[in-house]
Amino acid sequence: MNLKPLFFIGKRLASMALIVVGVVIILFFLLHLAPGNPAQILAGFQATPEVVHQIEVKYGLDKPLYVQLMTYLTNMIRLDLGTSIMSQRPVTDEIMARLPNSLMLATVAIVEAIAISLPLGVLAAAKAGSRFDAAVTAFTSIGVALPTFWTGLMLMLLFAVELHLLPAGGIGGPQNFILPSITMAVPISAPIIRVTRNAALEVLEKPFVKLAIAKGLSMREVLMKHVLKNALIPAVTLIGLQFGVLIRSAVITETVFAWPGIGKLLVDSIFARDYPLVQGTVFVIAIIYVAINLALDVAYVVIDPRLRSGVSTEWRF
Amino acid sequence: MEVLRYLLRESKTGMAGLAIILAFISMALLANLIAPYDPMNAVLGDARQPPSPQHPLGTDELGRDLLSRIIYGARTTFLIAVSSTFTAFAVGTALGILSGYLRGAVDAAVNGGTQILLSLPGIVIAIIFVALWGPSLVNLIIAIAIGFIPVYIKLMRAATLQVMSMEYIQAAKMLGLSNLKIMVRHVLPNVLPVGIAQLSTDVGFAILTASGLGFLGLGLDPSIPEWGAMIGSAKNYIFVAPHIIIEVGAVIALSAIGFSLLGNALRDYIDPKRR
Amino acid sequence: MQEKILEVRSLTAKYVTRKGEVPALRNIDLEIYAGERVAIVGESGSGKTTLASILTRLEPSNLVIEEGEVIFGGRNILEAVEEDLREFRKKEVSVIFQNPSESLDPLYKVGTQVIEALRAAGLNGGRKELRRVAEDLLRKVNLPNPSRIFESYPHELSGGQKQRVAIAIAIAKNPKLLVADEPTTALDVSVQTKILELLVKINEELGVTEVLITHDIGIAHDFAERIIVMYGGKVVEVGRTEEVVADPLHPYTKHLINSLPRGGDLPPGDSRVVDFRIPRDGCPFAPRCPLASEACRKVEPKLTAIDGRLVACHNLRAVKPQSFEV
Repeated sequence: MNLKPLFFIGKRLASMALIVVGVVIILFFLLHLAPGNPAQILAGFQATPEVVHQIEVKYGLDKPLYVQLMTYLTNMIRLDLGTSIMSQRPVTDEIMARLPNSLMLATVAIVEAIAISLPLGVLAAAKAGSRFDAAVTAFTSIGVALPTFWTGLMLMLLFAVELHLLPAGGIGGPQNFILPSITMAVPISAPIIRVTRNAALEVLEKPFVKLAIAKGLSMREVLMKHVLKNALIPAVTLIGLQFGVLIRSAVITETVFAWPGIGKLLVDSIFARDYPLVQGTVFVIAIIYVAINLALDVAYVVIDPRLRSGVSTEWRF
Repeated sequence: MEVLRYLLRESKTGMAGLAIILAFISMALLANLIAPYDPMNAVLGDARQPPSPQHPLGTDELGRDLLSRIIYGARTTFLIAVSSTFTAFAVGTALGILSGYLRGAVDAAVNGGTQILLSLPGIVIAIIFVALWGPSLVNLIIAIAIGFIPVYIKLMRAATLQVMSMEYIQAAKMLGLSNLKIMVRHVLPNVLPVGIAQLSTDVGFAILTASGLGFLGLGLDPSIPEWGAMIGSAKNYIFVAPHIIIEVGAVIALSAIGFSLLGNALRDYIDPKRR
Repeated sequence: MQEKILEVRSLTAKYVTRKGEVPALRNIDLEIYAGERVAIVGESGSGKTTLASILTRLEPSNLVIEEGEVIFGGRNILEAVEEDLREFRKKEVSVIFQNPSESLDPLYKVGTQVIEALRAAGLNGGRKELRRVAEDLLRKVNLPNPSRIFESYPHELSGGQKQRVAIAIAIAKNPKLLVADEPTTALDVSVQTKILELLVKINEELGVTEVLITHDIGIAHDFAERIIVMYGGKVVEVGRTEEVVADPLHPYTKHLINSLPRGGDLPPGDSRVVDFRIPRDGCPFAPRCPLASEACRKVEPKLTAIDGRLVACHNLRAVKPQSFEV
């Protein structure tokens, strides 16, 4: 039996675990080295030193930093992320209550972005130099530059406040997804279109595309079956690199539309100085990053048979 | 200069971007000449007025002239955006070249750090940093810069690896030049163009991040005219006085569009395959 | 005379690039007869590949056809609308490209791509039936173990095997005309001969008219019954293979033949240096021709019939009697 793929997967999982641990450690220091005594902040500034000390003991803040870190890491392995200071509920519960909302919204947004970007990018390439192409290319420059809060608020003002067509925020039926998901999809789709268009331009020059035309296939078949699929790898790579943009739009979109997801949870917990909750939320975000990258690795292999014969063990950058 | 000629001849959109950027820069530089009012002058009786002949863009929540605040705001906003991207550019370029040139353990360490930073999105770092350390100008710049560093490390590392395969690097090594000299004299000038295209795009992104932080309430002190901070203090009046957010947001979008158009044109210039 | 399958009349075309216009074809006239094997020979820049791309209507988008007709099946295919072109491609004409590694889509199994061609050609049926037909095709192009090849991805095959697959795809529609653009150039010498033999076999057994585009008059000699020599976007000589090779009339043809085994003694015209802008008037070969006179530089020679051949050269009388040394 060929053990190479197993090796590969093992190595990949190990390095991803390291990434998550790295994130947790950096975050730990970011939080604990910040100016101000967290116990004092938590207790309020009128609190007596005794009360402050009680809080320090309660959250282990009186122990040396490295002991606190070790405790946190050991607990993390047991998936015990501590207790939220705001709600006094386990952080895991708080996050699990919000995570599905975020995942659903992000999934809808990404699906929208992909469904629009891939055909648009391929079509623009097929009609390179036309007005349609110029319009699409202009959109790719403009789409990334629109501030997410602004797109969101403009959509809200127009469709919710002026036209009363859609809800202004909150979670509920499918109609609640429309405005926030479009808001999130705009900055993600613009670069995907650009990359797809450039990749498709290159693919269109390949003899196999001419051969497909020579077979007598319709232009649609040629573009959808041969050009699109071959332009997919760069687009897929980009989706992985867009993680930062995705989280940024998620945080802001969830705040604009009062969407109870982990982006909004992060903002709320930071303002409340709820350190366990902040730490837990960022931990989950890092896990999502790792999961997306693993999923992309699978996607590459599904798309490109050439990757199936020789599994690359190199770090993909 | 050849770049300018290229933009003029081949890229209308790149020229448009450059024009937008130059317009904003002159606006920032000439703020005290062109702004009709003192941006700090609050007239509470005039608060939240929609656009009128006296106040072409209306007034903000404290009755200050919005046009003047936008004009002055360009100064602070551009200062934040440009400083943070250049900081990230400098740090990322240094690390990227080191990592690509030395390979081995340094490379592995930098790679690991990059992966960690990538999984800790810029906005998250910025939110935590600004919230805990306080929204000062310097903190804002550092907070935004951190998020951009991994992009430059990756770009510059890849560019360095490409340059390393060139003969003149081997020749320089044979001559016994020190690693530092080779990196500064031979690698750096060859990888810089790649970074500069990215730089233009990222100044736009930095403006967006700053305004995003402002929207979340993590902008500078609201008395200072800065676009992000203006958004932060106006968002509570979105339904009462939507003109503030609409206008300031449009200005932010327009400036970011300028940088994005120019950045894309520069990228095409560097990579002729995409022209 | 045999039946004409394809006729090109006064075809003139140019490339439009950022840097200006580059003439590609100058007033081409030629005829292809049903069932024959013909080779179009010329160096790069001669216009042979441009011509081939027009014959299959796969010309690049920056090529502008200024004038002329390409008559196939009684119709001018240059005026055909998209729908007619698709019919033409589905049933009548096939093409083979130079680089077999790039002419198959890397993301699909070979079998899928053969079946795609069969379906496009109008063959209906389930995947099982089509697979049988596809494997028959693969066997026809001498691929060993067709069912294994059917299940393979292009990157798992050798260059020669990929070119055989490309040929299988080409004959899937049972075409009337097959245009092969340098089909052996990217292959090892040992494989080259086998691919040529396969093309000859297909011509003889299936009666497919074949047009081979090549820079190598040796390959043309091995393959073709008739040779068309092109230079500078013009047809300069047309004739039966043995006659052209044994007794070339045009100085350029002579150059091609002389440079075959022992290296030519004409100024080695580097095709990157020779560009069309130089001989806008007169004979395109004049700058490199040892016989060029003032007339050659001014007046463009017309393709003229002589001894059952067509030649475009002012110096024919000078050439014919006392065969010159070049």
